Amino acid sequence: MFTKVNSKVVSVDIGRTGPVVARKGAMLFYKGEVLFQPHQIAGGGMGGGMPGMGAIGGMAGRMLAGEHESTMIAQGNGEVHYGYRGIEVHIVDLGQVGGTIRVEASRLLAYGANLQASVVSVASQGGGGGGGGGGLFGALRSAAAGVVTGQGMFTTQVSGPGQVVILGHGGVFEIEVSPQKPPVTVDPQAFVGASGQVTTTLRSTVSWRNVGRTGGEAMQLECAGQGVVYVQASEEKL
Amino acid sequence: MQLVQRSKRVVEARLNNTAVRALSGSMVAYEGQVAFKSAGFGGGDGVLAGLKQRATGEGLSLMEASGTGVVYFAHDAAETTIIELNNETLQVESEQLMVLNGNLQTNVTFAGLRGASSGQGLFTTTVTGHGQVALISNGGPLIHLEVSPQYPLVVDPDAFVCARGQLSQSFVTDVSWRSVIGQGSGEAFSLRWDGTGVVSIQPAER
Repeated sequence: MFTKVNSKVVSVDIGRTGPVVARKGAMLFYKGEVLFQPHQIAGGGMGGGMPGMGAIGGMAGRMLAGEHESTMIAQGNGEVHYGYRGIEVHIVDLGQVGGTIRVEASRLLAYGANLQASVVSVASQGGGGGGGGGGLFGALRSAAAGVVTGQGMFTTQVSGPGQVVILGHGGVFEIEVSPQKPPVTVDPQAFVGASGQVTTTLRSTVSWRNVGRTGGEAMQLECAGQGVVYVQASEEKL
Repeated sequence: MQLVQRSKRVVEARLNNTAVRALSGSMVAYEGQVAFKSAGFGGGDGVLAGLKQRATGEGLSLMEASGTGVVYFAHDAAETTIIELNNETLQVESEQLMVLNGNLQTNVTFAGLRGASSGQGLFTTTVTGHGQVALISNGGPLIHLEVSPQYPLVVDPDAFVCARGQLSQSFVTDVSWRSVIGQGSGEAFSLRWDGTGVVSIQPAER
């Protein structure tokens, strides 16, 4: 599957692994007979992906959600190298983390075309009103959270057996989330994604007593459930 | 309570009902129960510190993380270095300071006329006491350069990060008729260190 050439470049032999979907423009070079074609993320409008947004179809819905990044599919026989703007890459093996990862579309570098990618609402994270409360209130709250963190209301979910390559400025490190461990909290700007059954809740630590004295950590993303969260060593957006 | 290098760019602090001070906003994640609050500026305590910050421009805004758990600190993908201080004084550029651990005092002192033209200011932050300091450096890991009486060291003020030991600094100018007619080398002002100690620089200029 994907192998790291260095901290910023991955290579993949598509003759052995099958077609690979990657962010447009991220191909550095290839050897062999490889054909690149535009690729669409599935599940945009056809009911499954975005609850309550069924009326707005596919492409338009994704653009509206801001959760859209042009991708291309590489098919054929050969070895392809991918990298993007000198940003560190991180390979996630979905088989080891519960078969699913949720990550911003802009942070997805490449994944096997056999994996299922879809756009999902942040409110339905982790399968059950994870946005903080459930119902209409939960949806509203997660929408507000999206505005504050710049994460948007929607996120991309990739699932299936295989590997996903994600991007993190300054490198990505993993923190395990489990009910047996102390709770994990992440700076929303440093949050890259989460795999497994992880729900994220945006929490403000500002109260009437400490306005302006939170030490620059006013907004925090609480992660609960079972899985892994991915954090980058920077607060840079991609 | 210990600072540990998690990766090149991430420092983790293990808290056990204790506290560390860090650059405001440098937390990227934490496990456990940790609270963050503003801990003033690098110039010491109280109202005087605030005034000092205004007057000197050494703007180091700190926060205090306290509780029990593991806190991860990183800043803008810069590389990090942990330095142990054993009742020593570290002179450091305030913008390169990320985490302070243990029994350390920070202060802002007059550093002489260096950098008056390089924009680095006339003042420097000092860290004194016993504990660990995590510094950030751009462009790669810190480069530690030894200074001994026979071999004084001259560094670019824009690459200077910190210095410790029995050192005195002076300001070297290399302005000649060449600079006037635009043939200068671009290194007109330098920092010279004499004495015994270690000076650390980063492989990038601010």
